[in-house]
Amino acid sequence: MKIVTYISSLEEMDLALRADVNEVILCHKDLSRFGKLDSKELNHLCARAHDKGLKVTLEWDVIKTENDFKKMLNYFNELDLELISSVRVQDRGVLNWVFENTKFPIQLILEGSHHNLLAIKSWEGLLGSRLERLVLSIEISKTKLASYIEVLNTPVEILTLGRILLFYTPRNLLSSLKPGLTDEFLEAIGESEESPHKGFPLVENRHGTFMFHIKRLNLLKHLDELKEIGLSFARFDFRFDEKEVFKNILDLKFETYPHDSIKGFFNINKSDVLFKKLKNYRIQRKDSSYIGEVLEISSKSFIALKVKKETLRLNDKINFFTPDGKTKEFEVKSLRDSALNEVDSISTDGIAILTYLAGVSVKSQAYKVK
Amino acid sequence: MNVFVPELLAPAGNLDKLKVAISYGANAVYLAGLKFGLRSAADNFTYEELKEGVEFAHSHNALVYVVLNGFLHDSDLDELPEFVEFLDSLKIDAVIVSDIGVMQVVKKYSTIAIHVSTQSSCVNSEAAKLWKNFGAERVVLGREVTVKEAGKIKKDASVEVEMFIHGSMCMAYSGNCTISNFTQGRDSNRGGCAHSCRFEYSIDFKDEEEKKKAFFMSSKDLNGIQALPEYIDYEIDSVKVEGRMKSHLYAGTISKVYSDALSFYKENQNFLSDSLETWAQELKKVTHRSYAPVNLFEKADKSTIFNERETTKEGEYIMAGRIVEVYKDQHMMIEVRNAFNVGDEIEILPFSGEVIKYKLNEITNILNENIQRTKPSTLVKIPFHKDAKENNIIRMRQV
Repeated sequence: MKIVTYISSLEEMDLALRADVNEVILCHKDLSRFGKLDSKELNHLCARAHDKGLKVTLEWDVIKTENDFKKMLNYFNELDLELISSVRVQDRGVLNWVFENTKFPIQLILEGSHHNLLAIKSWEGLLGSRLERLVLSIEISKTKLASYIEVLNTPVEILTLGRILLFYTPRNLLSSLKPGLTDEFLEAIGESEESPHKGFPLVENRHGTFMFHIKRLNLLKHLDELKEIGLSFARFDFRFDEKEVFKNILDLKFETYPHDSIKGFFNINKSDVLFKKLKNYRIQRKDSSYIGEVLEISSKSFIALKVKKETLRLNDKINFFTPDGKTKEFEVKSLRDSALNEVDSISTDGIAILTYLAGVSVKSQAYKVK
Repeated sequence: MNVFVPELLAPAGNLDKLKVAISYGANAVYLAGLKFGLRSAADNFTYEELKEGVEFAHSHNALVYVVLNGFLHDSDLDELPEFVEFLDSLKIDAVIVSDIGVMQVVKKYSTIAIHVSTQSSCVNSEAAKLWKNFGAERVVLGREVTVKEAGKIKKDASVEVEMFIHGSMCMAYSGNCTISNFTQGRDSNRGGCAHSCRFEYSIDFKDEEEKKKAFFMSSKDLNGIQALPEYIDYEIDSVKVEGRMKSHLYAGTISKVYSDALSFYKENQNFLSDSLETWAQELKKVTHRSYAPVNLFEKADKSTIFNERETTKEGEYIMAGRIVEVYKDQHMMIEVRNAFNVGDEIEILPFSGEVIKYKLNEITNILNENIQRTKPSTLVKIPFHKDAKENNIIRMRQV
């Protein structure tokens, strides 16, 4: 398993070299979300890295709409492309353009989505030999990751240390709070009484506004496990850190990492278990004997049932399924329409007035017993 | 003369809302089954409701698109083939998908057309070309795209394009927000969004003594009525209304306004500024955050941030109820949502045409007893009106 990291200066390059890192990611300020380098600076650093035998990967992960997309192509073409080994992309438009218009090996970022093997493998099929690496989501648990690596034909990378990006918008949200400010780069900390977490790092730059998790992702203690399951590349992201952190971690002084951290979904991902509590499944319509829904109850007086399907007839037997999970059996011995006329049947869309039955409540669903 | 008019695509959070949206003029609806979508808290559709919904829609010449737009996990995919085959058997008109794995399942188990969800943040023609090559018939463009850009994407990629025209806006690039995942343990890309972007935040800039309180991540609502001529000029195939979680009043009002506007254009091949203003006024009557065209004409700036607490405002209407039965020449049965009194003036929203203003001289309960004031979640009868129909929405001014 190899370590890959971002560099934006010669000093960082030297630190990476000292730690035997052999691949670095360079970020152009107009092509990468947190890039700092203009074309000249990137070309310079790229040349030096190339001279030192480092593999250089260009990150092109911004999302741009049609008009700005064309402008990005100009920045890309300003680069010394022969010195760049690979391009890593996320936006499908950038992917398509790089695939169709260059010969670069592609490192495909699938972070934040692609949580099933079929989806991940689809890109292997589509990109074929041009696909050099899959950058997978940190929402995939270790067990799942292991099972994917086993069957994928492409080397896999995940973020193992760094900020967790939660939110990306092209809109400038922070500068709206600082009237008159012309700075392109703004940082702040946000917290809300409505959130259980306090202290979200916020960044605004030329690409929009970003929110990060209050803690860093830190899988340093699990590097051996990741190696064991066949992870090819572990990414360290120091782009929001002091140089000292960069140096210490690459010197394997892991205990010096100065940030509160989490393992995210490394052990397990149960981010769908709460869904069952979001609505009442008992009042969902389920089978073909459905007849309708109770719209009103008057205690000890009547039940008003909206007949939504088929025809309700005298002597029909009904089961009411109540919102609180009870089943109430009922026989239609008296049937009135909404004008209170005694009738033999009520057809679809009509309102049936039935005799009161204790325990049945509004939103109870009625099914004919056949 | 063959006049280009976009399809009006409305949300259907449940079967009742599907009927409302179509009755009020939507050409197509989008809806979800109980799984695989992005609105876990919406009622959504059981198999039986789907069947009935598709039958209702097709019998009214409307199309049905089913959203399968979650970023699914492996276990979610287990049940998908059966559901896709079921959808195929119903002859639905398309599925809206964001996960390429889901697209593979749809292609393998059905012949249903694929529309790429806005969740994929398709915002440029290169992305649209990629999805077209993968077999997509249509792309639902990201909300960051201007109408003009959308026209260019359609032309360059030779693919159908769908754009939002009305409703709430994600502030983030769709599919690029995982706040709920990491802070609430709810996967926003599988239907668990906790709407953290609507919270009020204290912002600490460090170089300032006091923190600033702001709803800085909350977007104003999109309102594209004034941009409708552009949608037509650039031949946007489908204009989409957001809001599967919203009320019947919303579903009815928005569908009616945009349907009326598109019908007007079809007949007259132009819009009158007075008419546009009338429709704009109607749109203000449903509960909404402040409206803005957001990205429709140019890139959204700071004026598109909704930096205030959400409240119902003066001039907005609330839903008094819904007509659940019309008993000819006798009465109309109303399912009451908000209380109203004898003497109040309510408005019946017909499926087309002018609003019916209606003074309530008499209200009775189911047992024909006169009452002065209604209660929410009850049924009441009001005197018959010849132009009212079942499923008409009844609204009244917020006081």
